[in-house]
Amino acid sequence: MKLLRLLKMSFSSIKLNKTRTFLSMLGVIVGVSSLILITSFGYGAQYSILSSIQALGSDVVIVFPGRDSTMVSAAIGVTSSGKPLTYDDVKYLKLKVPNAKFAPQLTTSSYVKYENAEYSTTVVGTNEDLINVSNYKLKIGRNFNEDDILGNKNVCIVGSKIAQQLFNGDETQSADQAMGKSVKVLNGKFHIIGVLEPQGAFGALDLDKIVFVPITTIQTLINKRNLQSIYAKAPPDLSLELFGARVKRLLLIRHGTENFTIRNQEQYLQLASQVTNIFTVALTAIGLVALIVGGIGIMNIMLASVAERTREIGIRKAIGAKNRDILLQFLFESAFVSVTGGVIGILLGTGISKLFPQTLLQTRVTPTSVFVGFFVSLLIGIFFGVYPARKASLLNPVEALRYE
Amino acid sequence: MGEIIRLENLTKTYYLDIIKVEAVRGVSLSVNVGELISIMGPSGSGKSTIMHLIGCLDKPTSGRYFLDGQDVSTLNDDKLAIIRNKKIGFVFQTFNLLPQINVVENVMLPALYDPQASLNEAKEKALNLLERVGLYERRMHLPNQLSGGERQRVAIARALINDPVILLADEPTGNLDSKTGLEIVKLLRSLNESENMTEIIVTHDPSITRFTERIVKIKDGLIESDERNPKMVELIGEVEE
Repeated sequence: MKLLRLLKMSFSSIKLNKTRTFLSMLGVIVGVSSLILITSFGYGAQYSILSSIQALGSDVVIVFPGRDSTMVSAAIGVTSSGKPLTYDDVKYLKLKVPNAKFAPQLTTSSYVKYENAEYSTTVVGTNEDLINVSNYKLKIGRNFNEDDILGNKNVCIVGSKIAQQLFNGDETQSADQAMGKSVKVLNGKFHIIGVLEPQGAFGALDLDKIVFVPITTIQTLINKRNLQSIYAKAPPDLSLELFGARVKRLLLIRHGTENFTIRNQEQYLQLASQVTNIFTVALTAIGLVALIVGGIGIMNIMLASVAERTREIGIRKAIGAKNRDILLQFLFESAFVSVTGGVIGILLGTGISKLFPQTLLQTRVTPTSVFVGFFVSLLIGIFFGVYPARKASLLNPVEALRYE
Repeated sequence: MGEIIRLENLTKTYYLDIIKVEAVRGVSLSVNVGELISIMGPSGSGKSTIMHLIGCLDKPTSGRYFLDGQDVSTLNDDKLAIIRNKKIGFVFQTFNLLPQINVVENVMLPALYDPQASLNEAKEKALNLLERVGLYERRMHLPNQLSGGERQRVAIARALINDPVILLADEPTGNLDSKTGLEIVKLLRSLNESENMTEIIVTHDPSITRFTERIVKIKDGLIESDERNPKMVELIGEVEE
């Protein structure tokens, strides 16, 4: 029997019962689209975390308060007890390793207000080294200087989107306009001394919506001393390993015990890919479960279809269909239903993932997940189609013809 | 006239749960090319089982069956499927057309299962056969748009598409009124006369058997009688009902 003829026969049966075909397809559509969607969350998170870690630079270590902290635990304030990190630590480190760069980070959320325009933002207290240890670049204006820091000056450097939102206009125009203006942040008036180049998002945090202020100023305003982290950049003459060891030794001297954690980009990348890989695998597993449920739905409907079409199978056999012809006809049907469902699911899942506001939740549909979605739906169609198709093919023609 | 079918002491035993049913208990029969035979018998006599054996839908328990010179009693499922496809044309009591495809597609269906058949030739042939059974105008209709008699004529056209050596009709008039049934029998008879088609009609209706030249009566799985029909009516000039 020529395959093309069998395919045509399968299609005519599929066309005959559109509602049932659609219903059995629905399980795969839901399964594949959720697979695509949730892996797009996983890959999106992975991408944004990895790219922001890479943006740190390979010569940077980060110091967190507490033993065995991570960026996440420090950010949400879960650190083990003991002496916290303070700005004094930063000053001490700067004194001891003068040609290295140390940028403290003390973050709080606030609003930023200019005339009638007001936006919520993240305020980060830091010092003049921030621009050296991170990828931030000034588009216009100047960096913080010693005066600003020592004198608790009410000056700020704002992200590109803050400038755009407060001083309507395109990137360059708004940056020009922002310079020298006074904005209200944390109940204080701050003079804009610089505007940053666009950066992109760091996970849920939009780096272009940050307001940077001197660390000393924010400490006074929010009455908080403890830093969330210190970003430290090794001097050119020191390897990252040696530098990390040196920072550790210095802090040990100051703190007495190891109540802090030092991590570098390498460790972060490893940790982050481990975490996001587990995340993605777990999400994929959930999606696969949904797909298997869809496959069982196909099997169920194919079995019902075989029972309903027993007589048709009998007729086909009586006029010369071999067992294999019947098997392939039903297998084509389930594979077609499943693959069509898979393709619709891929399109639907991709479409839905694009609907998510990317600043809130980054989504990424990778070619891998599209291929996985397609082939898994094909495999599911064949796997769950084999049993009903085999059952159909092995029907006794005499009994099948007698079936009412 | 050559022999087309020879049954040698054919038996068929099957089990309904644990009850042993000896449906056919040793049947020998010889049919020549161009014969028109009716097989009669009450229900449960084994005539349907004999029909299934002759139609290669079922395998005998013992005995031998030669069709067109070939021993088909020991063939496997696939080979039997090929025999059914190429050498046998079936006509059923319930027509058994596929509801989802139209008349000409139904007629072509056996050709689709023949890998050597060309679809264009099959289509041309199907249209000729529909012309022959008087349904050319209705070739694009679906089976449920046809009357019972028309459906049976489509089924006859389908049975002939692969040039079978024998046509098997199982109660072909059972679902039809007597007038339509008579038309179907006349069609079968005219095919026998004009194309020399060997035909076996299973029936319990005496108004059909009078059109056949030989009547085989089955009882309790055995041939009770097998004789020429002395009262066979002629098609032409026969005006009845």
